[in-house]
Amino acid sequence: MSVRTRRPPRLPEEQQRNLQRAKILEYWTLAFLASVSAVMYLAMGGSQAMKTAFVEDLLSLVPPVVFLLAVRVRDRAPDEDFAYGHQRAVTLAFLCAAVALSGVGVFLVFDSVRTLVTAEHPAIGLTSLFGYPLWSGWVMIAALLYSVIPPVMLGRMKVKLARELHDKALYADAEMNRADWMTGAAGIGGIVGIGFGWWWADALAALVIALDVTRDGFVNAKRAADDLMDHRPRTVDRAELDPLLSQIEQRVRQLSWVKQAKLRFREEGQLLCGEVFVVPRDAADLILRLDEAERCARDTHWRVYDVTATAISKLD
Amino acid sequence: MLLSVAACDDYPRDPEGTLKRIQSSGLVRAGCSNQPPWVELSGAMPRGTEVVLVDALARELGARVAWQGGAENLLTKLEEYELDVVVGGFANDTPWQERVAMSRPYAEQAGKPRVWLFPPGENAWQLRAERFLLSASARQLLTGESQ
Repeated sequence: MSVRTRRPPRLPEEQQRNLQRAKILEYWTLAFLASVSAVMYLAMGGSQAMKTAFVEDLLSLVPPVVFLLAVRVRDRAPDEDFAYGHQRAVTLAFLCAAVALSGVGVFLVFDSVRTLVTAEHPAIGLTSLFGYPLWSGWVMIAALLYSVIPPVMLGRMKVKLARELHDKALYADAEMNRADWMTGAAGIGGIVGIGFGWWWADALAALVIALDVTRDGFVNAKRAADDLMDHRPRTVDRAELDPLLSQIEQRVRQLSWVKQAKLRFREEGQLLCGEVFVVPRDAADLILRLDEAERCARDTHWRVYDVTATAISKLD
Repeated sequence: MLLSVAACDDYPRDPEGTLKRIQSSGLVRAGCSNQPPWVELSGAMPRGTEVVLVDALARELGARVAWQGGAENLLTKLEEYELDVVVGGFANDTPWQERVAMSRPYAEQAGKPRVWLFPPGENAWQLRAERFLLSASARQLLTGESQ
């Protein structure tokens, strides 16, 4: 059997630069997560809160790691085994990142509910900073402040790049950064509350954020699963119908020989693939015309990757 | 709110109000288990380094100490806020740290750091006691006793 592989996808230069930036951001994220884990360990020791934060950090590693893996896999050219290419690795990474996000949320929900139900009073005692004794709460707040600022900045930059690149794995990672800084902010509020004698403050603040993170994770996991099942292409952040589709349709319809046209498209990673069904006005030069329709669809945008034009007698 | 945070006298506070209760009632409810030289329960009154230290802390707060001896149920009482502190040469790897609060190690014996145990989450009281353990007068009692 002989296989006709797809031509390798190619990002325009601007997008290659964006991708490079995204990769750098992800390496920064990994470095930052490692340093936060270290700072948290120093501020909290081996406490339960510390263990919780550690599990959360571990799960936060998943999106940047799978993003970087997906970028490597995606760049492989189509071959006989993978004639359609490897760009779905991005959707797979999106699914992994979304599941990790859900995991963080569910874990935090359980942890905070457990604390509330067992009425566990968090003990925050004395610590010594450079030989000066002070309440550990202050050190924890300082550590949390440190942990909050980088994810705010990284997250904002990633969201922007994710929209440009239409990279949902990157977008899910930005959501993880959002979860990180919101949990950190809730933690600050919680410790201040504990200082006021409200033992439940930390757990309650964590619960509110955890519910938001869980919802976010589930919504994204659903979208990733949908995309793997060839859901109609949607925008990265709001899951609205991808505006590129109507642009493609319009361009094909404007060809002089096309009477009617309909699309059937799916997302493969950040790329759009699918069929254009056209009803030609007559059957003259049909093969050349179908080539023209494919080219016309592909030229709409760099994300339009593999298009097959098919002539049909009428639209049903 | 920020003002009261800045006025550190009253921050952090105890959820169960232990420190305030000690100051108003003039009574520290302390538990001790036999562990010489920290606590010795052989006589009519408990003796030992930690007994002296708890007494000194109580004096600083204008309170006296009501001692309770015994073993396991001391920690259960501590967990349920029926005691304010439990001493007895506890090492910082005591399994009870999951259920009650533990001070920072303030002394060492046989290579093991020693701690006091407090009711869970009574942060003002614990902080006050821990500050005392670091104070010059406590260090003095500690070195004086061990000689």
